[in-house]
Amino acid sequence: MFSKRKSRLGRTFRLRQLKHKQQKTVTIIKEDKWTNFREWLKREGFPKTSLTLAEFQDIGRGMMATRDIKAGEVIISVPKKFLITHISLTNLLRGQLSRCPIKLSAHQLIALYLISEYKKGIQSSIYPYINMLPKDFDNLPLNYNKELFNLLPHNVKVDVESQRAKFEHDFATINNFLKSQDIQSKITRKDYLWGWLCVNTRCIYLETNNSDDVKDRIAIAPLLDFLNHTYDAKIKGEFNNMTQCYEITTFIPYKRGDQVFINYGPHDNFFILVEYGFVIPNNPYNYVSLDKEYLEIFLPGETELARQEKLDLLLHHGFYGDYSLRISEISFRLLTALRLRVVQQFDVLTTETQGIILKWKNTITGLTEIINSQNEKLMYFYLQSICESALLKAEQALGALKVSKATHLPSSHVKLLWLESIVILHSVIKIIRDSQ
Amino acid sequence: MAPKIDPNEVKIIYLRATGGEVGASASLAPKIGPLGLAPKKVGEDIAKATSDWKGLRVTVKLTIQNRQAAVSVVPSASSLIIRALKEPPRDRKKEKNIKHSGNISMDEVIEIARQMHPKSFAKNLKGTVKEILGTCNSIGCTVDGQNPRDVSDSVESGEIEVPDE
Repeated sequence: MFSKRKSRLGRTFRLRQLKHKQQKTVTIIKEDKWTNFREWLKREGFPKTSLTLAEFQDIGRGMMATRDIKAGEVIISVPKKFLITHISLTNLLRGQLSRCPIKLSAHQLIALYLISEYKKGIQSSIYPYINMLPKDFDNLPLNYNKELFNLLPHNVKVDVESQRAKFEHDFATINNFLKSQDIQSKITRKDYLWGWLCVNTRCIYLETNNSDDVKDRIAIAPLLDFLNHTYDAKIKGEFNNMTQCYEITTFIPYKRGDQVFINYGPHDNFFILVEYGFVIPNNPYNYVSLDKEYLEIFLPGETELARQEKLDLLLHHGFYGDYSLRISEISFRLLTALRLRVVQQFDVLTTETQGIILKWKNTITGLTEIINSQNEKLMYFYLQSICESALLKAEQALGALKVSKATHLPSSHVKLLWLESIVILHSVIKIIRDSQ
Repeated sequence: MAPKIDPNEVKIIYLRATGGEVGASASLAPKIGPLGLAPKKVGEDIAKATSDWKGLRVTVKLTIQNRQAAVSVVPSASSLIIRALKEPPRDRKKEKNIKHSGNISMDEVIEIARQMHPKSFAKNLKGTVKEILGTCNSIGCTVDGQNPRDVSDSVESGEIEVPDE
């Protein structure tokens, strides 16, 4: 009976099924805290938007267009009163701050504000917003466990460590600040880290009249911070003095039901993972850093003195560090640094070496392209060898990831980083082989 | 610390180049080499982007984002006029002190004014047209067979009508 009925269903049924399936990939969120948040925004006079929070398959939460959006339209505008900035908080806490000799940066202050409002619970004036913030930041490399952290690429580890140092510094400043205020606070490291990371992952750049320090030009904009990032979104975001709102304009159209994206900036996956805790496949800004490999090259016959002198020369001419590879592209910095590095019998006292150094300087200024053909050959030989050693490292890391017990999502992020590095390294090795 | 939508992450470099030619990397390398960009490749990109401007000096804008450069040509009144003159290409090295004694039509002047209008401070298109006519005068060409200054006077008096946009 059933099969007989099924056979009658034709093209329209299949099309409907297909449509149904596509719709399934997006679910509009109808949680209480989200409705409360929207009502709170409406009550406080937030302009209407055509965006709503939705759960997207594979991506997670993002903002969905509730109608077709044309190119050149303002997708969201956040009135000044909703923006949390250094100045808005200074005005709010005027009495307390002026008594204190310790000046807090925008990042420190906003983080402190968020966590204190969080502690107030339902009594907080911005409770509906606080309630929408993520509860944890386990996807950020800063919170990775030791095992997974060790499997990160070297340059990412360096970035995470400097981020950690910055947090420790900010936390110490906040502790001093609270002590000077005689506030019996119960803000623990974990609490403050939450507030600090909320600011780090969600703030936007906002120029104000009296923000002298570039670092203080940040703001938290409710609702706007739910928009996700892609590299190909074309948007403009700035404060509109006429309307007194922070406005985001999109230059590409969106269909109803699509996810609306903004562009955080021209960032590679390393940066995005460290700062925001996600990665994007096929990111065109990806690169491989070879700084560590460059410093570790073993050149037969190179004395420690010669090595140091070469590095000093690089430093002096502004070519020290930042040696990168992109897909099918070798950074000019890396080529220049390697040309100098592979010079043999390097002794600054001899005229021969001085001549070579002069020729090397000419490659920087663009007068010549190479020092000499022998040097160029040697340079590509060592370039290939450091690429191959980087490739080996990437493959080892991937192998270790397979057997690690790290949680699913962060380890898949790290895996993607290594896989992309391998693609880039292969493409560069192919170029070197072809040129020979 | 990484604020979203930070305009300071984009670097912009302006330089003068001869259209359609791969310039000497001596002028490029000191500017873009330290940023990690390959002078040779960017030079080729500039030549490609300026292929519509063969043999003319044009201002080129390099937009550099995270070690990647995008090339675009900044239109300037004089290069647009010289292009409209449709002079035969010549060897810049052999001929010096080039005189532009050609002629362009008023319609072409208005078309150029439209392109330059966003950059101009003039209130309406009429003002920009007069600016372009002034540039014609300094280049040495004529408009509709007349001296550009006479044409400019006719535009001012309303003898020649200029659309608002």
